[in-house]
Amino acid sequence: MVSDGAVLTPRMGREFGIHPGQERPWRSELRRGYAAMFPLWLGVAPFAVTYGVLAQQAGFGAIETQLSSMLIYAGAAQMAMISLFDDDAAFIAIILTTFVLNLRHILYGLSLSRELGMGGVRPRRPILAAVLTDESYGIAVADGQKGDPARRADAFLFGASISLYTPFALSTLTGIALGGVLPDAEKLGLELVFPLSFAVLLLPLLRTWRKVAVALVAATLVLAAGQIFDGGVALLIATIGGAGLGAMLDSRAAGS
Amino acid sequence: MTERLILVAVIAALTYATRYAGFALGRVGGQTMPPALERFLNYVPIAAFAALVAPGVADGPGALPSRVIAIGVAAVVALRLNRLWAALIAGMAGFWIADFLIS
Repeated sequence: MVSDGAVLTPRMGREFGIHPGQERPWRSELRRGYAAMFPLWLGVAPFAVTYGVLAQQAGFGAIETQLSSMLIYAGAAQMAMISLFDDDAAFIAIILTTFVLNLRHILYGLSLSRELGMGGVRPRRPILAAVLTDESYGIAVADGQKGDPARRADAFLFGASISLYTPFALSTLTGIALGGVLPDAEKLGLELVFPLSFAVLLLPLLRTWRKVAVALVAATLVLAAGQIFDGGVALLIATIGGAGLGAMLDSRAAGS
Repeated sequence: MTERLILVAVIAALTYATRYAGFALGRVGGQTMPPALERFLNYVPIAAFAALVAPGVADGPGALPSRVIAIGVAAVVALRLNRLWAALIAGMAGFWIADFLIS
């Protein structure tokens, strides 16, 4: 990343004629992104099975449950939805809560736009964006950090984003099929895979003490805010608060 | 159409909107992104990942020490082998062993 504010991405480089033909083929990048997510299939499966069971217990029909996973494709929002539905919350409350919970996607999109550049992407943004998840964002950012000029950010991101769709949909179906029976063994700590994954993705990014501080502040914020607000709001507060602190420290250091 | 399906559809549409908004805004802003926003976005992954890790460690399956050990083991393996799947398996193994020993 050039420090004077301009960002020369491989995509822009190609548009301006720099690094011609250095990128790997779109399809192989798609596959690389898709495969990069395989370890996370491990975490998604028990989560989605649990969701399938709980959704039905909350009163959602089989088709409604399966459609929710296939149309929304956002685990946290779906869990919030069925949980609030089970509590007889008003629909507007459910919609608002899930909306706030999803706001972080905007930050992810902005963040990813920097490496995607201004030009065309494949698939086009309306499709590329549709399947964005926390995990694919994390994996894509990690891959981008490697500074590999041959990578294709759009293909890799898309591959990573669609990768979890299959285990998510199939596991939801499994949960529906299991009906009211929630096998405890399935849940045996496998949900830990998610925080583990993000910890592994986070650590290589902590290259300066300032970044460590931002991480600690964000962690503190999410736990503190989580006492008052629900998870999605807390996450948003922590992300904005932490990143805001980092930006502030950077601008102070730059003297601007 | 049941009302639940309508709820699902609305949530799906709004979820899509938040997903697309970032990309759309990012393209409009493009090269002339304000430096303050640039600085902010630099830290978004760090803050977001930390915020996604913390609740899972503070409150999760098993005992707290087991979860901390899981992260420690995963971190070490990630550093040595640089492979996510290996780190996750090692972390989970560390968790199960630690939790077994503790409880």
